[in-house]
Amino acid sequence: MATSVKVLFFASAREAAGCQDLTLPSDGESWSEADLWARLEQKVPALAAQRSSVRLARNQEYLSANGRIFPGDEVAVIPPVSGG
Amino acid sequence: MEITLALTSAPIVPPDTAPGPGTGALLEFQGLVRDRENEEPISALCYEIYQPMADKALRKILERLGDIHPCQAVTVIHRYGVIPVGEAAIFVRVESAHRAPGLQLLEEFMNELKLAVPIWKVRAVPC
Repeated sequence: MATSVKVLFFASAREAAGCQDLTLPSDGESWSEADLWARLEQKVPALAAQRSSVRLARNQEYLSANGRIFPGDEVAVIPPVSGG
Repeated sequence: MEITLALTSAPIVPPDTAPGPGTGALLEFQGLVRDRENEEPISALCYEIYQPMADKALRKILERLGDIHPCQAVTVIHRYGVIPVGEAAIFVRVESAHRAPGLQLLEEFMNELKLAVPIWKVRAVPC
């Protein structure tokens, strides 16, 4: 059984986090976006400033408004994009 | 619609494949790195990518737009890493029977790319 959630950081979120990724231990339950942020901000307080401007992706798809995050998921913190 | 995608750190080489026999409009677009960023002279831009998600997102956008604007084939190549001034960050080639669906697909694709595909200009390299 998966026991953690991997969180990836990109661009300004990576700079704020000071790392490319981190692993959050799972409590075996699914998490809301707010649950995830509470854990992220506790671990890396500098990420709080990013929260209003970024989107979350779960397993390479944008997380919907009421989407849940499950043990074993890969979550990405996606700042405003600027490709092309 | 045939979709060909490539995400690469190497310089973009536009494909030289011949269009299909039913192609009446062949559109090619390249987005180049300009010599200024925020009015400051630069020598390059550095792009970062979340590759597995970018690949999925690009394909999803193209599949959806292909249903709205029927085209025969689309090729997208997006470069990441350090891209010098004058070189292409993106190449798009659209083959369609007539120009209207091809032009519409290209325009809408570029707009959606800039809203949702996880690719970032993270840094300008000063001159």
